[in-house]
Amino acid sequence: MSSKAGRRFFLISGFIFLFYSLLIGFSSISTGAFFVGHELVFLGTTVMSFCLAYLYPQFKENDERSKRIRERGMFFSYFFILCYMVILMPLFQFEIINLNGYQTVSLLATLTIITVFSSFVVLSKRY
Amino acid sequence: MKNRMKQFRQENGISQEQMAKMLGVSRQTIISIEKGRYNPSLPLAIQIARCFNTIVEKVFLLEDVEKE
Repeated sequence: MSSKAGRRFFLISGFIFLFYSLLIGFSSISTGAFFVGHELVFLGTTVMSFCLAYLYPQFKENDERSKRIRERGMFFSYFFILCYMVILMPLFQFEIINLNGYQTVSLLATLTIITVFSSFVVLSKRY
Repeated sequence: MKNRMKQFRQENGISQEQMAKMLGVSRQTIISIEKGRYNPSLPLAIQIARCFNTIVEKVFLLEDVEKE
């Protein structure tokens, strides 16, 4: 797949996911069940698609720079994910927020997806 | 580490796109190396020098180590 075609593919899928996340978000708000959890995962997937649309021409070649970006991105994300957990633990412990298991896993999955892919974008600007 | 890759590339009339194809890397990698944002590995630096029929030391210049 050429760079332009790949970028277009991820842009289109990004808009589709954005539409779905808005649709599911509004439907869960209207039913009074916000947030269920899966609307956040759709939001994370939307961010991932837009990030991949930006990164595709760079990651397509799989050269040493793209490997470095992936490696550093995963390294930074690891600390960010630990921070999210450290922040969430006292929030649950002192009952500041009350989330069920499904919501918690969805929240962490969304934060992980957003952190990993946005760190790739930031690092691709840096390197 | 500084480099004179852009100068060598322009002197040889090679575009960034052609250079990227010759080295098997993305165009962004060439841009990053030329701007000094990314230092290539030794094998890639040698490949770059070979593209210009020269030696690595002429393309890549090691800056003086900062005094303590």
